[in-house]
Amino acid sequence: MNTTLNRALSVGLTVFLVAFILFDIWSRFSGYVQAKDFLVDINIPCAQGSSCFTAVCDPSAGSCDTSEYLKAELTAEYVPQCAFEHTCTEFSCPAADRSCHIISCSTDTVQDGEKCENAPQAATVTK
Amino acid sequence: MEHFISIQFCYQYLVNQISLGLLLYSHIPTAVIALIFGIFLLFKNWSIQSKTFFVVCSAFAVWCLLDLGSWFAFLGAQYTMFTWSITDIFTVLIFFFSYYFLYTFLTGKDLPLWQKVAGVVLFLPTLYWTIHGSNLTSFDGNLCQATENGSVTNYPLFLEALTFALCLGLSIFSFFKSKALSDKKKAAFAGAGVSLFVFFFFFSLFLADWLVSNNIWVNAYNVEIYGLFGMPVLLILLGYLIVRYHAFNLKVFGTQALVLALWLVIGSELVFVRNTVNQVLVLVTLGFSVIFGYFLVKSVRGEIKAKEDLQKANDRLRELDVQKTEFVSFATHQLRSPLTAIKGNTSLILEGDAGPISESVKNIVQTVYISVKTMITVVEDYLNISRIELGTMKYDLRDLDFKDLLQEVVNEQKPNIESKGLTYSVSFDPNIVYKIKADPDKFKQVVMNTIDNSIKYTPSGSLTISLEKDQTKGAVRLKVADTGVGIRADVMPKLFQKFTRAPNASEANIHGTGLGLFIAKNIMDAHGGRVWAESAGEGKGSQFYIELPEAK
Repeated sequence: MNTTLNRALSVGLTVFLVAFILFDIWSRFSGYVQAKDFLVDINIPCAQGSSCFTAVCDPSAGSCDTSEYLKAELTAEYVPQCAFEHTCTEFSCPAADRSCHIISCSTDTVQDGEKCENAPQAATVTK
Repeated sequence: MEHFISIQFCYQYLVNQISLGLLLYSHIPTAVIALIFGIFLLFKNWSIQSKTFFVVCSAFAVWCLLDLGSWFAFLGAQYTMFTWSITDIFTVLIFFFSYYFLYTFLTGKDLPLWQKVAGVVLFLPTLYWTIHGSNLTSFDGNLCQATENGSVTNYPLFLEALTFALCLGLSIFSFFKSKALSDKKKAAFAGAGVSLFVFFFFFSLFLADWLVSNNIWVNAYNVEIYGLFGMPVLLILLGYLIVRYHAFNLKVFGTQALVLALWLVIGSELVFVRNTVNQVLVLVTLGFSVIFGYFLVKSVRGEIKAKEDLQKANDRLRELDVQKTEFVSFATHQLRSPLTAIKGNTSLILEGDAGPISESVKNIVQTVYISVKTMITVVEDYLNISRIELGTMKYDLRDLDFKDLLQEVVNEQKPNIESKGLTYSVSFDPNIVYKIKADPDKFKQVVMNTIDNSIKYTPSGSLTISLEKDQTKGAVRLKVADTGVGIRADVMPKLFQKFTRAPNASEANIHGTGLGLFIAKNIMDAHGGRVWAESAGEGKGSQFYIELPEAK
């Protein structure tokens, strides 16, 4: 292939690649940093009467946190600071956050290393 | 640091999980050193190799910053999500350009267009998924890290594995394809450097992803920092190639590289030294090392310059020596023809072919004949010397019986031996064939020169010439022993060098150019044989040996 054409195509590819990368960076910056449009999974304090999660402790492993908790998934924009710091005494989904939901413990939601306290038979997800 | 902490929980989680100092030390100095190296190469040598390597270094430096952002969730979850989401782009860039750099470095050519297009096409899915944020599902506020979408993030890992395989394959191919040893070494060092770099990087990323996705270790991303240490390995190997083989056409010498490395090591301490007193001490040390390093480099540079000048002068002298040899060859060629004509015509006069001549004229012509014969021998010696030095001596090897050739030489030398009043004896078994493979004319000259040498340096006494087979060595050996002036121990090592004559040769009125034994040695070397001498000392005679492998 002709050298000039080859060079022109190489330059074209580079420009395309750089533009695509810059667009990617801008897209993620505007989405994550400016709009905070991502989900946050976070543990919240156990509410009265809820089926809560608790850690399964290995007796040989020394200290183990056995506090009960629920799980919440909500949009980053609406996460209160106390949730990030794990210091909230009570938590409810912000009204503006349509994605927010609290996950109670059930056979469907419990994961390895966890167990349920007062678990109902079916999964409970509340808005 | 406190001013930047937005989520105290994540800061505490981080410092409980990993040493902050190790995290900074593994990322910042490595990124800065790589970037300096890349910029240095780019400024010193504007080539495709430097440009591609600069992209590798820049992408690596950006990757290190993004990775730190991913670790520093305490700055805000949004920053971790942002840096984490675009890290894959730079990972793939690092890998792709590592291969690109290796290709250009080993082949000296740009990457073929189809490979560039293939690279971009393979890159597109990663770019597309990043735009949509599909590579991350959420931010885990309990672990202070992003949660990756395994089905999407496995694709960059596949690309990385593919690039590693390509780098390794290209390195091995180039190593075996290179003919010169220096090219093989270049392929080995550059190939090993790039392959190790991408392997460390890929393996640490793969291992971390695998451990996290299989819930084996929630803090498995700690292992990623060890992947960064492949970069210093690559830089060290490239630095070696620059110093040793002037890679990138750079003339950097070892002292410069070491001084630079020392500055970087001392400077990198500033990254993690917290105490002000320690920071001042590091700065003072850095200042001193900069000053002393500068003078050291300047001094070594002067020495290298002098060495290079000497090398140039040496090369020029070699050139002149070749020209001199060519001139001698040309001049002696021109001399030989008229001398041969003089010899032929004087011989005709002496033999009476030109009619009867008086006794006084005969004596004069006889002197001319002897002188011209000597002169032809000298011219032949010079011609042989120039052929040996120019490497144009041709050998026509044939099977010979050494005893026949020896007999021929002895018959020719007989008048010389007898005219000096010497006695001689020749011994060999007439029933044995002393079969050797040699050029008849050249080998005859060796035997002739050796016997002639013994005659010249034996004022009185005898010559004992013997030919024998050495069954154990499978060789045929000629020994010429004389009762002549002998050879001093200090002369012995120089005996077969050009223009070497016995120290008392002139006083003893022994004529010769000092070239005979030098020519004999070179001819014997070319035949795969050897010639050597032994002597008990001055006045105690000498023995000359000529040895050749016996022909089958």
